[in-house]
Amino acid sequence: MSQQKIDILEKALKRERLARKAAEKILEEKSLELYQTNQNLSKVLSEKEIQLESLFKTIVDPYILMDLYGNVLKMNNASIDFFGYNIERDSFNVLSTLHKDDYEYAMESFKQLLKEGSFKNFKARVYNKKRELKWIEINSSIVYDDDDKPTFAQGIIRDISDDLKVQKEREELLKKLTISNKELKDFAHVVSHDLKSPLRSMNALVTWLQEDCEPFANEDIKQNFDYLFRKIDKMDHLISGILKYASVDRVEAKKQQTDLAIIVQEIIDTIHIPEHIKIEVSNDLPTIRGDKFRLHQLFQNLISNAVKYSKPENGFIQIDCEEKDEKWKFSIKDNGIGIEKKYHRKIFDIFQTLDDSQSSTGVGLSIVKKILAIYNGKIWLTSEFDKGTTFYFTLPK
Amino acid sequence: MKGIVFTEFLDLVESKFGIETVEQIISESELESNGVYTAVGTYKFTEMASLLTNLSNLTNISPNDLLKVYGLHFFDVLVKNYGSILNMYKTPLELLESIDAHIHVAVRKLYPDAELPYFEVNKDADSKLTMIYHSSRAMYAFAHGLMEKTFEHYNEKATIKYQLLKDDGTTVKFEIIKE
Repeated sequence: MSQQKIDILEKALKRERLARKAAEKILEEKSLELYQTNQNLSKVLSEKEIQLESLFKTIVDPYILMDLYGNVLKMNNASIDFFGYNIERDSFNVLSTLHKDDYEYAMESFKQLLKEGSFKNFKARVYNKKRELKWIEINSSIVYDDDDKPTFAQGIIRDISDDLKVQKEREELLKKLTISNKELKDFAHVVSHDLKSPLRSMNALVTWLQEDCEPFANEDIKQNFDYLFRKIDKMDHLISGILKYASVDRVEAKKQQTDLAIIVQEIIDTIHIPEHIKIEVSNDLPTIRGDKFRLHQLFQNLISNAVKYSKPENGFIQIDCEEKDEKWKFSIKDNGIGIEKKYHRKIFDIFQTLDDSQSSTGVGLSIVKKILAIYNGKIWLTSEFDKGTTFYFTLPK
Repeated sequence: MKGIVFTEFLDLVESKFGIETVEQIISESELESNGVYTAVGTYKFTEMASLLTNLSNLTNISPNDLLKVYGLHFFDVLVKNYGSILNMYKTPLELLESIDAHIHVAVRKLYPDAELPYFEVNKDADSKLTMIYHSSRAMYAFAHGLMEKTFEHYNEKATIKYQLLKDDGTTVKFEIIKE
């Protein structure tokens, strides 16, 4: 071999040796780096594990992790308490706890769970180890491995036995309440109809009596007849009031878009408004969803009241509306006789009226309140005696 | 530039032109590394440019022709070292299409300091792909070699045409039509 070739080979060898050392150094550094990364990862992992474990233990609801055949692999303390099984001692398969009538539904739901990846609000009956039957609700999901293959199913269980009992009781109570409510309404109807006919007879009889007495009636007798007719009239109004009040929620009316500006205008056009009363209506009255008849009744009763209790001269009524977050706030303001503070609650009770005139039955505001209750609305008022009253009420948008 | 590009280059030079040529281009190039390369190291691209220029002068073969041959050779290195990754792709077009979106992404994860070209890939038809090569290193001929070998690897044939969109070779459009 020539010297030149030997020199070249030596140089190449030297380069190779240096390269090897450089590579070894790089690898050494890489190993160290790997080791540190590994340490960090282990630390993070064990922190996560501790967090998970404590979460797992503190979950109040029973939690189970199972394989795809229902064999429970992990359960928290709540779960052990609930089922009475402890997988550290007994093998435990959730399918074996199912009530036989719910088995098929459970299989269907499981298929759904596998397909969709999660299943919510599965309700079924299960037996615990003591053979006590419980109603449970499970929210479950599938755990997938790295290749997206379903591996486990996990579920959080809620014991709804008590909930169901309470719900059932509530339903029964509601049923009873509906029945007695209906009975009460029917009663109101029957009574008012039954009262009306003797009242009519009474009216006829008194009229005849008045005619018969005509020739020798003095002023006292005439006035007493007058009182008698007024009382009969008042009683007739009261009975009509009962009928109206009882019929407010009789019919489940259809909700429709109702323009309140039109409703209010109709009311103003139809009720009697004395010359001296001026009514101002805001241009911003909205269109809302509701039963036209009820809304009409609501506004009519309030506007009529404002008219009825206005002052003998320069009466002024203002109807306004304000938009709030999820509702409308209406106000009907008058400068009438006002209502004393102590009556502010009482006036909404049925048959409570502050004046004894024949046209006032004490039904109007109780109907208003009842209608607002149907729409989840509220009513309140501010008033100053002899200065005026403002009724406020809300209706949902 | 990754060390493996240097070590494989010098191995190829040695096998094609002999160890004397390796010695000569190393001593003629002014190299910060003194020609000491390891596959796991990282070196300046200027060293590669310098080695290539000197090899070209010595052999009278244009740098681009040398690079293309090197590209053909380098594909085999990839097959040997990263065969499992290549097996994820069923056709050469599928592989080329994934260069930027998948392969280079993975390379960057392993070697954050890797300097990679950027490809604009457009699938014009089932059998036609346009790839626009962007790299300040202008090693498009190397890419060309890799592309050709890709088809050979899958036992398929293709016509690969290219057009310099910039004269310095930093932007080059490849049109790849599978036969």
